[in-house]
Amino acid sequence: MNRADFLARVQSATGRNPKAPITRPPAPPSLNPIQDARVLAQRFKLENERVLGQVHLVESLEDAREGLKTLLIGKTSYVSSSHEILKEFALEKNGLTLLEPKDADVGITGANFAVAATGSLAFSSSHGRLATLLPFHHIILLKASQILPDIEDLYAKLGSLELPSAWGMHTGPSKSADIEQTMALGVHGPGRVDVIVILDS
Amino acid sequence: MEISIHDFPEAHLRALANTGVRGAVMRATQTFNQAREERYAELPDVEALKAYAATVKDHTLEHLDYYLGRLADNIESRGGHVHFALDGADANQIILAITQAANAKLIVKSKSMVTEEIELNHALETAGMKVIESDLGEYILQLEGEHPSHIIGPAIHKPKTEVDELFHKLYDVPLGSSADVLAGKAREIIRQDFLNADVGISGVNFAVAESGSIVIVENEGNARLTTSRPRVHIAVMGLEKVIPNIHDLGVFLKLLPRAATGQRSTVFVSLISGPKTDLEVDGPEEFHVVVLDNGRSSVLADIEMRASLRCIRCGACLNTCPVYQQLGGHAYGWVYSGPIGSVLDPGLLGLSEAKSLPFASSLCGACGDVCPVKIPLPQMLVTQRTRAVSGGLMPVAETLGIKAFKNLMKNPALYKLSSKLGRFVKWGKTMPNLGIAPLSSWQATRDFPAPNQKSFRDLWNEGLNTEAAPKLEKPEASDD
Repeated sequence: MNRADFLARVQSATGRNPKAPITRPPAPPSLNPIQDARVLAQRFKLENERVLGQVHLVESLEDAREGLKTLLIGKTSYVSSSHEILKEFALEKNGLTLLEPKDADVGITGANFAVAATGSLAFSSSHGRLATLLPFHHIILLKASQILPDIEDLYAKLGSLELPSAWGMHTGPSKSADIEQTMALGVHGPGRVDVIVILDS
Repeated sequence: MEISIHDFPEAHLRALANTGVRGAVMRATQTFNQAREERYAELPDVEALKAYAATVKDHTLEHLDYYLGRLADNIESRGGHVHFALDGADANQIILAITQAANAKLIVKSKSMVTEEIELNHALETAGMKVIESDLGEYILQLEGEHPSHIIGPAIHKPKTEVDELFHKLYDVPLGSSADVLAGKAREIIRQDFLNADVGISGVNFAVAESGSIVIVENEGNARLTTSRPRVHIAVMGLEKVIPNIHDLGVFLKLLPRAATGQRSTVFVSLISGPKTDLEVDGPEEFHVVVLDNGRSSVLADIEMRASLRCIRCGACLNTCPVYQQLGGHAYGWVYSGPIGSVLDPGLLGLSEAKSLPFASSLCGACGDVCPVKIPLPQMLVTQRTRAVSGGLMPVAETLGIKAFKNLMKNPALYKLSSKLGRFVKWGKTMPNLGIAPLSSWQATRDFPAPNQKSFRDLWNEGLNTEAAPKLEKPEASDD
């Protein structure tokens, strides 16, 4: 059906006066006051690990590089996203083979934002989607200053930004409870997720 | 999905006899209920949040054509395409045209109740395309040739033993393997479909008008992959999914995961606004949204039923309903079951088809209490019942029986006479079933106490007094 006919049908069903001005209900509940980045980082760790992620709080960039090296022990191939934070990590020197997302052991990416109250990470498609989805192991490098208090803060933020083709919010490893309510990880997204949070900005 | 709600009188008896499914459904719903209540309790003022969500939904529905127009304009401004479908046949034709233009052979799908509603898979397969359901529960059902029984956990009725046998038969997985092993096999197999599919088809949880975006929530990641890897992405939505702004997601995504599965957040949320941009390294090259009516505009026009379109498909009302807990979803005979199905199905399909459902309720009110958008489900169930009666849809015997009962109760002399007659026979403790409607329906599954030999009026007239009752003064006779 064409758009005009479809919308005319809907308008008639609403019974509204098309000339009347439209004022939406007032804005949602107010945003949380900014909290200390360290406090938010602690909460993020608590909530992300509650949903079976692993969070490593480190003081400095150097500690983060060490942390990443440890997490990559035993891996042979990787893929990364184009997030700026990765420039600090010289990934091409980590001894792993760079492969396509579908073949890599591990995806190493940054994130755009995180949410403390739920342990969530927000990824913009402008840095590449498949590196965060296809490898079984996903490692994220994050600064504590990127962490927002709760999801209403995140969506207020996303609503104020230029939109990429997709935002992906990930909260821990992929889960399914479709086989008689028993939990299985890694069907179909990553089954293991590690986040390294750098406290010193 | 084939419509068989009219079968409910028999279907529900079959469901009650299936103790395996009853057990699985009871366990799943109890788990969901407990988790939901715990997560609701964490919110500082959950009732205020629900009321606000209801207000936003009502506002959007009141101006739905405006918001749909904004949605379409904004999606198209970023290179996406929006199609409008009057009904299922229209939608399937549109989707077929897109897949044929894309030369699609393999289609991967993430979970979508609306595509079940319009029987999309059948239309695509008839046209020679292969369709794979990627949600693990839907995948299992697809292999078994079954339909989903719950809008959130489509395979909750399936005991693990049946899944074991299926995977053993198809993939040689040893019987008794853990859920992890079965899931690992599913990951391996379905992964190939994500990588090779030409088209990905998804549902939509919310459509954001002012940004031109659609939102999909899930735990497995299959929707993220379905909407990221294939060259073409088609999202199918009922017209009532619209919300005004991205910041509204701060409320709706706070409520939906808690109401549905007792999670603070689903594992994955996709907020999709268009095909990949030239600078992006991956993502679909084509993005289509199909907006479906299929009876929803008449529910919108029906003021008493409009609020049912607030539904965000959380499934809380199903999980909490004592009738759903005993029956599971299949007995309801269509895609939308439980209390929301009992209210929506008459609106979408007509009461002639769906009349059993509003009556399959004890009106306990639990559904209305848990609804995250405060749909007045108990009141709507009564409204549908009223319409079924005034529409002449009830069995003749029942209608006549109720009429006779009404006339009796309105006539004091008749009532007195029948009261005397009723006590003429020594019944014993319970009344035998004399086949008199409406009492006989009650008596099919319950006892009805027999009247005492002396009625209360008789006892009163004989000077009934209790020792503990205070002595009351007889009022003085007055002159006026």
